[in-house]
Amino acid sequence: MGLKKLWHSYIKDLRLSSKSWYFAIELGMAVFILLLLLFVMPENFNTHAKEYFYLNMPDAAKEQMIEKSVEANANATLKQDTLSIKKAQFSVKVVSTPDKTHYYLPTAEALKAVVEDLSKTGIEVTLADDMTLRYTYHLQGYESKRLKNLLYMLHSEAVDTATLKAAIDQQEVLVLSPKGSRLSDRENFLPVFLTLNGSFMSLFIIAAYVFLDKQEGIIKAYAVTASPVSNYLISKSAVVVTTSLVTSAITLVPIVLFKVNYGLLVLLLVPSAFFAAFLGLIVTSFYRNISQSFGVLFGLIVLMMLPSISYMLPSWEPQWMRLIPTYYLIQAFKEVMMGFGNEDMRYILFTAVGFTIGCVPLFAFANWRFKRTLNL
Amino acid sequence: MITVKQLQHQYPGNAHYAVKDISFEVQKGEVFGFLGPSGAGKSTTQGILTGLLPLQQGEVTVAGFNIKHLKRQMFNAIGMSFEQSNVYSKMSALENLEFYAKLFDVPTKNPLELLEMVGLLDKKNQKAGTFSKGMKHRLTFARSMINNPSLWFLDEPTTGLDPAIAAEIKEVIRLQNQKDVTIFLTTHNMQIADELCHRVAFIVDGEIKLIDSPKNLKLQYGQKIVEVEFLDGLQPKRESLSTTLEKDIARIKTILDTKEILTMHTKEATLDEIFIAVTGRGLL
Repeated sequence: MGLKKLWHSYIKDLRLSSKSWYFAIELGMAVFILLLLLFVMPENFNTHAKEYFYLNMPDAAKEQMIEKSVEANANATLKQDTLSIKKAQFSVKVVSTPDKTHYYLPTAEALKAVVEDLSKTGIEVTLADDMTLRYTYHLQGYESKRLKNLLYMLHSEAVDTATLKAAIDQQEVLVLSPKGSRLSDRENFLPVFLTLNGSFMSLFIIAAYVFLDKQEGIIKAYAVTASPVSNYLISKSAVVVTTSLVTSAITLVPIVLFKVNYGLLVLLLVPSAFFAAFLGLIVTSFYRNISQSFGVLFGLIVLMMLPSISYMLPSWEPQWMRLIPTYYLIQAFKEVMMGFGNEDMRYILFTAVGFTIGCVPLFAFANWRFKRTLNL
Repeated sequence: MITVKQLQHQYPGNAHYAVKDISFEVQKGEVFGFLGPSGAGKSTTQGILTGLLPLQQGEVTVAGFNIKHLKRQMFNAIGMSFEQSNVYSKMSALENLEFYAKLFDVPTKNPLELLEMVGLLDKKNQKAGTFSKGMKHRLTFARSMINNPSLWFLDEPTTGLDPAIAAEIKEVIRLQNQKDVTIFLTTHNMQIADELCHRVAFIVDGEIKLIDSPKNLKLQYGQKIVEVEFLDGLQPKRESLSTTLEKDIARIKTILDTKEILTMHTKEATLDEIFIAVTGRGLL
């Protein structure tokens, strides 16, 4: 009988939320992120280097230098092309290899346009009286001291670059996890999205739903029925979890298709979204409206998001970061993204169980608070 | 149906008690009026009786259930109509009632009959959010009857309603009471209390000052005087005469025999006047 009432509450809440703006915003965000990932973010960020040269020297020397550049790499190709910068067009020679492209600019004006309008580093090469090459780098100003030092060293006569390259080539490089699979840059973003979708959206959306009900006095009306207040809280949370599953699927499925184990994904998504929803319920039990609770909600959301910074910048990972539950969630989602057979099943299950256990005291406290604050 | 013994309640952060050591009983089939000005402790008491506020001190039994150990089954027996309408604005009137009907474990009333009872049948498929304040109030009132309650809590049931609708709502309350439904009516409207209640309690500053029937109170606090307006020749005249003094009774007889009576009525005290006389306070 209790489950039947819970089911009715859930269906009613689902119908009401599907008519709300919040639901539309959630769906819109999921579609927006999907489009962003598919059409704006590349599968992998481009590591192909582009360098812009202006050879300020006689034509014969210029031709000779470009030819040498082509001859230096067996895979290099040379072609004439047009470089459009704003409204200006420059005829350039382009030497391409698999890992870099050299643009040979025709004039000093073209170099200026590259530096100022394309915000790229431009290199002017001149021929000195002693027939040696002189390099002038037009930097953007934000380059690190390390890069500048590297450039100094590269052109220092004290360093024999040929010997240096030979020494580098001879160094032994050991791959510690030769079988370890890697995520593409696009896939690598998904754990962050899944975590934020659960922690950020669930926390905020449930607060919005509950405050709307408080405003309309709905909770009081529900509290004087034979259905327990816990049903109200669970049905609201279940709606938020359902939306979280739907929005996660919208963004995830077109990108990873059948690569990942969706069972494991649901196993993580459900307890983590419930966890965030219960946390949101606790916050709402202390306040009358969303504007009063905004500071606390915002603080919690920022806290939940901090591990995503560590995830994107692994060099910043202080010990206290491991106290934040979403730290483990992001890593667990990453494991799921590794795909069938490559994931660390134990880590995923450990995280799912951890969040499930964490849900118990959170819900008990939320339920206790709501029973005592029905008149708030 | 309701037993309250030495009930006290204090809100967190407030040094004063909102309800101070009150005790009363409501019998089965009775319409009990809980009257007082805003902030008197009416809503706090009602909140405790309906489980919306925790019981801090005292003993409270509602419909046979001890409020100290609140059980959800109690809500199968009670209905609650709130002063502030609280219905799902994005659901139609019918959907609202159908949803609440599913939250009880007892046979429920037909939502369509309820809507007809409160004059909303033709608006059954209209979203509650589009309703006027009075219509929402009627829907809230109808919802409180969905589980056929044997104990019905009504908080200002006619507030904001036009006189014709208010009269219909009062008639519904009378009809339910005739079916042996016990009614706990919270209001500051003395007229509705006078019309409907078997007994009333006056509450001020968290204390019950008096409990009695409106009839007894009027007898106790009313003046035994008849005001007569009559024609003396062509001149209209008015006299106030005691119904207990011999000479005044004789004078009344004389006027009745010899003069043309224009108006004549006893000078009864209203509940408002009695409330002020007892508590020294107005109702607003």
